[in-house]
Amino acid sequence: MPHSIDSLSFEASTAATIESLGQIVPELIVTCTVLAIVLVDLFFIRGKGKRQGPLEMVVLAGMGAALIATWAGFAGEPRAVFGTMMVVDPFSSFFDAVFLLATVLFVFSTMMSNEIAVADRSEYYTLAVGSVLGMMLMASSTDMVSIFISVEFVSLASYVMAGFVRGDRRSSEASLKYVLYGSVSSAVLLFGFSYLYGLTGTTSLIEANQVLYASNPYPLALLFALVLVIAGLGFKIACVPFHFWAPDVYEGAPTPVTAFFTVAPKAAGFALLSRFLVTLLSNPSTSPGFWTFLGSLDWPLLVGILAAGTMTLGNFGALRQTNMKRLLAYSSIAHVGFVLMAVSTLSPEGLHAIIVYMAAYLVMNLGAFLVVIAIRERTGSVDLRDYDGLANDAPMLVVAMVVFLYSLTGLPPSLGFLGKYYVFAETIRQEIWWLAAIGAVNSVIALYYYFRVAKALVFRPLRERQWTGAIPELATSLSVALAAVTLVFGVPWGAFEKVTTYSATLFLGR
Amino acid sequence: MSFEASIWYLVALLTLGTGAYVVFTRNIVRAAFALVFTFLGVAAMYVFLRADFLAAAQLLIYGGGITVLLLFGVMLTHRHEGMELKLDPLKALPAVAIAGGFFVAIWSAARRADWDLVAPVEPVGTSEAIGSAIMTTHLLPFEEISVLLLVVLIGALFVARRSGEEEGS
Repeated sequence: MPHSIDSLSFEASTAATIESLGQIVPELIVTCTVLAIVLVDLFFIRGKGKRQGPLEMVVLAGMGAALIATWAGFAGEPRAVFGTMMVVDPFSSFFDAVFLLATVLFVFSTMMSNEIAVADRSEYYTLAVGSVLGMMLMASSTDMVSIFISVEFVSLASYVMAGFVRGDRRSSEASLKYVLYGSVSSAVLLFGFSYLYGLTGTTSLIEANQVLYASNPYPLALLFALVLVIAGLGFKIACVPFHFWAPDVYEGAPTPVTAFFTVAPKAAGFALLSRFLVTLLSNPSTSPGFWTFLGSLDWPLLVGILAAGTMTLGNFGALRQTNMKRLLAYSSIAHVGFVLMAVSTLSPEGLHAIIVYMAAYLVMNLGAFLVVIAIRERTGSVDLRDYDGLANDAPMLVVAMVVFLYSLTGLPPSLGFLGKYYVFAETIRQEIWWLAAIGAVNSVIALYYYFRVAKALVFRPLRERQWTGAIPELATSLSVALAAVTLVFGVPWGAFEKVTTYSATLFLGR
Repeated sequence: MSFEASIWYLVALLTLGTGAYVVFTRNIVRAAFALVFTFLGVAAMYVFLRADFLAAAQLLIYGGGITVLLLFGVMLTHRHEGMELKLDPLKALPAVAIAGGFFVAIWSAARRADWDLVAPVEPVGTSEAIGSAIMTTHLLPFEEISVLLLVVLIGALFVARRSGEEEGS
């Protein structure tokens, strides 16, 4: 339909835009950080004498400012901005904080690793911070147009980051594989969106939800559309059967990038997936805090099967790995399975479980990767066979690593246990017994391979060898701090509970 | 069959025919050339859908820009003529089976769904509506894309520079 440019409505929309801009301060700060990196590199870092420092300061300052802005907006009323393009609610703010904290740890882990040439750091940080902007938009998008753009934003930046090691065939191969599988999955996602648009005549999830409930469309077409969307997003979070790219990419990418990939984009994928399912499919006429879903189809069963397959294949894949990066890659697939288990409950309590799990995973997994990076600096290897007896060489670091492994297994009292506790509690409350049983068996399998690492570190004798460097001071103190967080927050704690429960608030446009 | 319908079938035949040629030929340069016609056919489809702006964009960006880049890329990377694409009929079987199953699924879903249909309209220019949408309701995605392009350009520069240096060393 032709719109005539009516000056009155144009002014109204300009006013709305300016008001909306005030609501997305964290995103704007991250955007400015991207520009600041480019400009600082251009004007303040000259010639060949490139050194570490200024760029890291810019990124950390930007992330810190964005964190403060996120915290300031956390308690605000859930609201839609830019029409219904995106929403700002405690859920999105919480995930923004997860991405920003992951980036801070990512910067530190890059600083202590020699995998990324200092001369390449400005491009590297531009891509990383750019992808963070994409993730923040992913966590708050409620329109298929902005969802797709933000997903592509993260993907395109990730493809280059995976291949960031100069002259390393593995890294280039990882990058290429990522591009090929990633573009197919984007196409699948988009095709699913085209079906949804055809069925509802709108790209806004909030409006589409109302149309779906008013018209009750042909179930097969809706199922087809949603299976495609879930498959497209499933590629991005590496859930079975769309996981096969993950171990290769995670092994080939530089270690700090792998660490970042296993946490931040996955959290963004889960934020998007849960927001998408709830916003599009929950019944608009029921009271808040209790969701029912479009009849005809059994969504919990569909997601539950994916969850069971993902955690089982991830854990069995991890059993035989001797490369730490591959082991943690498979373990991250298994953890995706546990989070999907929470997604499959499709309830506010399930959402709370996702939030706690992702926060726990952020701390313990990035902690484990920090130790892997530090050990790589010392031994020049990420192979498990070179981990023998390192407890005698770097006792504090190994203690921290054991804490992370303990928490990744999900034993009490640790953050990992808290995450698993909420997931299982909600699954059992909804009486999805088969899924809870599969989850329990998987936790036991995970125990085996995590403790194989701990055993090598602590109980094997230290071999004589050539060291390639020293353990970075920063790595030891940072990983001990993260280990402390893992244990302290592992005890149920009123304020933590309050913040995470509040974060499970979604804006659904009702 | 009306005049418009017969033209439509002609365009559909062109698009599918050249598309199939792209998939089945063994010569990569010919495939790239055939792709030009596929893109042109898709542009014509947009015209039938009364999406004039999209048709022009398809023509300029895909019919013109992308294919020229593709051809340059193919010709510059394979200096020796005769880079043959492998087509193994045995390996193609599972692919055909999956694609066939997918087609049946699309077909049965599409045929019975109640699509949100729009009555055919007289052809009117859509550029104005698109322009005002980009500046009002869809301002956010538009700006997202501008930041995305900056980040992607920097990434592309990095990749290009790196492979250049590798060749030099």
